[in-house]
Amino acid sequence: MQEYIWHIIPFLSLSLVALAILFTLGIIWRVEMKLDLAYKVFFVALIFLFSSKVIDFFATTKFWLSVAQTVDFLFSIFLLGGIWMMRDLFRQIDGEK
Amino acid sequence: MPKTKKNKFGKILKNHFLLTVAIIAFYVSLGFVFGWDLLAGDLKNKKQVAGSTVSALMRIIGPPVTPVLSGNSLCSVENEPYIRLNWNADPDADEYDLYRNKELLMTGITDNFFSDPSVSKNKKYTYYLIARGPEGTAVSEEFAVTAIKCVAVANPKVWVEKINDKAVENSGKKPEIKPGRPVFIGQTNIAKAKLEFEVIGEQQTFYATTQANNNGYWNWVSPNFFDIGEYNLEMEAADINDEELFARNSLVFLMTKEKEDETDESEEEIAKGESVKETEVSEIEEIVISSKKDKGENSEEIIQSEIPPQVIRSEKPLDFEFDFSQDLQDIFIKGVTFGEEIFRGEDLDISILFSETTNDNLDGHLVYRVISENREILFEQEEQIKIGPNLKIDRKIDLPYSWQTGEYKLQVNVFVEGAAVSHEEYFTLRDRPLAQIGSGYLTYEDVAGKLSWIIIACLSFLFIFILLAIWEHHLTRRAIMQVTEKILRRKGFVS
Repeated sequence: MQEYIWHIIPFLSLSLVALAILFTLGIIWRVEMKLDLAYKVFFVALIFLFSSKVIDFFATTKFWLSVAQTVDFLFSIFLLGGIWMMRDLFRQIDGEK
Repeated sequence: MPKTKKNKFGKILKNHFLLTVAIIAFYVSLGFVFGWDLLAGDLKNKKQVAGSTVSALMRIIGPPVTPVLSGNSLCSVENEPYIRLNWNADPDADEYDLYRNKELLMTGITDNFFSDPSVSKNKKYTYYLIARGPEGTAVSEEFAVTAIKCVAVANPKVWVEKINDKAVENSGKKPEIKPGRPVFIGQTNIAKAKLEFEVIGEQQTFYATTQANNNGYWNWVSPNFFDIGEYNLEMEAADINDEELFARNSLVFLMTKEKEDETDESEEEIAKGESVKETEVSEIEEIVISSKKDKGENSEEIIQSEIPPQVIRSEKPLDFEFDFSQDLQDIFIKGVTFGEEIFRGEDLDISILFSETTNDNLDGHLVYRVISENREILFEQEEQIKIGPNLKIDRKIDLPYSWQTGEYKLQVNVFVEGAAVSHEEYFTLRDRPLAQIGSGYLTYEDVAGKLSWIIIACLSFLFIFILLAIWEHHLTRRAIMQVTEKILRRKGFVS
């Protein structure tokens, strides 16, 4: 049974990321300005995460494994970018200088 | 209907919908991964469980049915005998009392099996069982079983069956083979044993390792040339999981000239008036088969009857320290381990590491080979190297795509003057998979076989995704409209 769980988890994880993409898209449609931009960056990050997962799934050679890792790295950059923007936004709302 | 109630109902409906979709998607992905037979089986089981629940309610409790005892004697992991008893499960019985030799052995057994470890070898035991239920009791017939004798793990053995496809004779005569690279085929009763060989000749000493398969079969293709002379092959087979369990053996063999040459030589010798001496029956050494558990000066066990007749026996313990003057025995080969899987078209990485104690500035040559299951050398590469302490050599073997899938052996040999070291490791060549799911692989054949189901699963996934996207978009539009409406109302445009 444990073995089966490890077979299911990649699919489950992929589905959850797809759901996260969808909800991020919903937020993008709703909000404007800087919050919109931050969520657009999150959206791109999630697209990279989804892609890296798909590539990792089909990667049976070292080349494709390295491609998956590169895409995963891009996800990290965009995730950090989005968080950075959100942080700036909250600091602005709080009136920090 | 009040607005709040309607909202609550809508929320419940929405959540229910999402949960249903998620469960269906999960089920579809299950089918995609394990095949639809599994889902069908699962549904069938569920139906059966539901069915049995109904039948359980219909059952009328009655007296227990007479139990029927069965069982046999087995050996435990510790090699102790025990008797395992089974009987038919009866829903009308709550518990069972077990009797051995007319005396109570255990009461209140709720399972329909029992293991009796307090038995002695070769002794007969008679059991009977009483089933107890709310409506009465039932006594079984007597059942007799004799506890078997559990022989300690078979005495570890290793021996040579053939050299160059020539059976090693029982007569004790030293096997004679033509000079060349001999192929040794043998057996051990230790599955997957790690085998170490030391071949001591007049001119050269050779050390090698290989591994036996699950049946204890092993073959070793000598990587270096054996010239005319007498050689002593000392071998050790050790259990890879239990260092305490090993077997040692030795075999003396002769590398002689081919028969034609032999005849010529004899004729010459006769001409010279010299008598031709027959090869004397070798002084047969005794094999010492022992386990480290019993290791000690007096505890070595010499098994007369079980010794393969072709092997040579000796009272003295064999030395397997492989103490070469060049100290090459500490060569490590990394990168490939037993049973490792390599995909077709991939490179085979070899990493050879010389020990700290290796003599400096030794001239040697390195040979690496890939040998097929039928001992055919498919790849061979040789190079001159300068050996030294802590030297690390990394090499790559490009495995051609044309090679068949199966088990192969990688052999790495290092030769220096008068000595050689060889190591062998197995690896499995597999078809390149399309995808890797957890620890399993999905090959092109798997995909082609389930293409229709994969398309259905992908389309279902896409359909659910699009449906959710539309729903999300609809929610957004509604929210925007509500916000606009609020603003218009606040500004007095809408009442």
